[in-house]
Amino acid sequence: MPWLVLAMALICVDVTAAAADLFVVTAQPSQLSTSLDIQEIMTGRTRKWPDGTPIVVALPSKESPYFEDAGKAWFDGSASAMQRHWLRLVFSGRANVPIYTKSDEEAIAILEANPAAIVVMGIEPPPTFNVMARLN
Amino acid sequence: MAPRSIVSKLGVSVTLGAVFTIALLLVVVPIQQRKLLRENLISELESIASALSISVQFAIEQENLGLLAQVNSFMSGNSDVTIAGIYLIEGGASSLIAEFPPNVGLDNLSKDQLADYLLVSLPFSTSTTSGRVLVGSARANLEESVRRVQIPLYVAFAGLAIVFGLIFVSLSRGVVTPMMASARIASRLGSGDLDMDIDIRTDNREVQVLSSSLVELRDNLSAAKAENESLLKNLEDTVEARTGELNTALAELKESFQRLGAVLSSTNSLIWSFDRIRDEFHFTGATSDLSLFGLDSQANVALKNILQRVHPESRDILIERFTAFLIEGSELEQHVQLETTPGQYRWFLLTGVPIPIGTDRSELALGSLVDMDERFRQEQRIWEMAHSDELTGTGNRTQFTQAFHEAVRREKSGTLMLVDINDFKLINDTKGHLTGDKVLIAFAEELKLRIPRAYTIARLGGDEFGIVISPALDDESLASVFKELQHGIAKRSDLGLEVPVSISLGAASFPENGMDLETVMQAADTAMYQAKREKLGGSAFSLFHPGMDAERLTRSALRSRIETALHNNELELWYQPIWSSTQQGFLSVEALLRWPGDATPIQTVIDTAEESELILRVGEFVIESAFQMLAALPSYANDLLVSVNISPVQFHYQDLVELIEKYSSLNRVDPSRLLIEITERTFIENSELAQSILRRLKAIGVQVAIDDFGTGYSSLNSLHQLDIDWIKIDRAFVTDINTDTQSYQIVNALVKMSEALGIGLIAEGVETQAEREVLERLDVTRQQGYLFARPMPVNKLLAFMVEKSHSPTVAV
Repeated sequence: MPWLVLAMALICVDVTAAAADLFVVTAQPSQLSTSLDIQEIMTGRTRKWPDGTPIVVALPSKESPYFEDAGKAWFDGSASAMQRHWLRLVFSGRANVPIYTKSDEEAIAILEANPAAIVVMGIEPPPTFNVMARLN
Repeated sequence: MAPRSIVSKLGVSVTLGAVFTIALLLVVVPIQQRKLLRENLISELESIASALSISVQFAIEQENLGLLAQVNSFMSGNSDVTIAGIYLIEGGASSLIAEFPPNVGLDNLSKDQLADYLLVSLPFSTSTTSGRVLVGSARANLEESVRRVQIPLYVAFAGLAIVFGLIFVSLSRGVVTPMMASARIASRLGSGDLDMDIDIRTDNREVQVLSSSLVELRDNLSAAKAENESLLKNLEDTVEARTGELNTALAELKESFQRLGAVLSSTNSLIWSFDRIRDEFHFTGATSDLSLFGLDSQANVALKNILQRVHPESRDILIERFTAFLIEGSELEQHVQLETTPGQYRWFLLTGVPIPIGTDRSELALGSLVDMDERFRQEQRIWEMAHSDELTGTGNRTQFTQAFHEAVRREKSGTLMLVDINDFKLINDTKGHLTGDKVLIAFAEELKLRIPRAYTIARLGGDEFGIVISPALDDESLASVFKELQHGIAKRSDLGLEVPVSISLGAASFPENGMDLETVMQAADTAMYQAKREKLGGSAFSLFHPGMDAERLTRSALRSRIETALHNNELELWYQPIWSSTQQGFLSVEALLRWPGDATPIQTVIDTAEESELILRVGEFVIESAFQMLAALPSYANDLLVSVNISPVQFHYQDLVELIEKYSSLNRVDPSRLLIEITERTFIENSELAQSILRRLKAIGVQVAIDDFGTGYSSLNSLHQLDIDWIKIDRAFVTDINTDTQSYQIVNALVKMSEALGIGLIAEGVETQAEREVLERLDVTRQQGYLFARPMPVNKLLAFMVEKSHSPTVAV
């Protein structure tokens, strides 16, 4: 799919341009998450883990340092586009309600509390969690 | 209002009810429901939009999309929300960022497509952005909701219509139809069809009762009809019998009417009825009597038309009496004059049947109208005969009395005049009664001509007329009336009289001179006799005043005494010798009336006698006595003349020639031995008559002397024409003629005049020798007076004549 190739290329460009790394982390086992497209999950198109568990997406809050980075990574470089996208999804009932995290600690706490969650954080998560992607 | 059919009444009610129900259930209620549902939907949409707006704000501000998810969940479970959208305003433009359901394509919906939705839009704003939310519901959903709601309504309506229909059919079959059938049956029963079957099939108990009642009614009517037919038969029999009786009665009534008509016709009567409502008379009576009024038996005559025919003089009193008759029920019996032909009135007696008190006054009033004209005119003639003088056509004493009493009653004041013709008895005695009647008629004509018609003129008897004037006239008016009468009667030259007729009029007023007729008449009579005393042979007028009455009574009493004296031969003639100086003896004597034993002055006696015909009797006594005296004289005195005084009345109204010849013949004395003395007044009044009488007297040898010459108004021409023998110089010119130059000159002139006329002179009242001598010097050869002799009775005269026949100087 040409648009997917283009998107990936853009992600690569962005990661390359980022000053710090972003970690897409989940508590799910890696065998379950590796086959999934991070882009699809973050834009809400994929809403369930392979085992059928609903994916709980935790996005960086506008108070989070990764707010803009996340927008750039998956939403055409715009954090507000990310907000509008999720607003549209939730309003139209096509996605579960995302969780917004203001810090890495909140992200870890979410992971610990909800095994089906997927968070974006700026630090390396504890080994108990699975990093599905690392963006730079 | 006319009763209407129960069908039409029910039909109208049912139709109105159906229309109302249809309008309510199919129009009003659905519209209201639709309106209500729409308002509810919009309200709901507004609530959802509000929740959505809040949830969007919360999502943007708080980064919590939970609420938004709940809203989505709510909208998903709510069929009312068909579409929704969230718009953000960026750079002045509104862009759709989310829509519900997903991919519905709000941006792509055309205006017409949007019109298929009910839309509610609410704005929102956050610290970073603003926008609006849109919530819509498909109108089809609303219509579906309406349908869902209205279906039960239509079902209810259908059920109601069925119920109403059933009720209507039930009423129609159970009530209306039987009722209409009952009505038709009742109508037929009413029209007399009692043979029909009454079969009203119904399961309605009340109608069944009605049906049974109709059957019972029919049976009762049948029974009643049979009974009525029986009664009718009896009635017809009775009517037939009564009709016969009625025809008999009608025949009798017709005969009675004919008799009544005949009676009305014979009595010239009309029967009238008066319609008070229409103010009209209806007259019934003989055709001839009706035609007298220009009416026929059908004529209704308006009251005003009858009143127009009433004589104006009796119209007001008729209206008054007729009104009282109608309103108060008072008796109506009124004589009225009605105009039967233009300008001609007839007398009728209008009577009304008395209307008892308490009777309804609106009923007809009845009465009769009787032609009384002939009778009334006869009564009038009788009345006039009873109240008028046949000879003169004036009223009589009865009318005079009535007029006086009426004047006293009505006016309270007036004047009563009595007037008679002077010396009327003389006219009657000397000229005959025909002439006397002509004089009376002429005087009555003058009275009618000069006295206004309002006053009453009546002949009271003989030549006396009475006039009642009311109200009273003043003295000037009375004098004016008198003058007109005086001149009027004096001018009449068609009466065959030589002297003008003169009148004496006395007047008295009431109440000043009394209030009863006798007293006032007496006063007027007194005034009239006072006028007679003053008349001096002509007409005179006098008004009564207190005191006049006593004098009149005195003179009246004197007349009675004179009459008695005449009857008892108490009056005598005394004689005063007249000296003749040429013959130196007494050749004549003057007979003078004397009443021995009575103190009344003899001139008063003569004046009183002159007031009536008494003077004629006195005059005759004088002539008779004079001739008797001459007859009794001895032979040596056969040449003695006797002069007698003749009053003007006697001169004019007594045939002196006949009288003198009579007593001359009776006493066998030559009439030439009689000398009559008349006053100047006697011939002044009518010199032609005097001339005629004197010629006849002269023809039988009677000599004539003018007495009291110089005191009257005689003319020399008259003296010449009258062929006078002697003039007797009044004593006024004789007395003191010896010293009174004026008397002397007069007598001197008389002497010359008498010489010229060939008339002898006799001086009266010679009392002194000096007077005698002067007179003799003036050649007055005949003298009379106390100087020669006083008047003396006849026995003394004879002695005087024997003794003094040649001795004139000796006075008696």
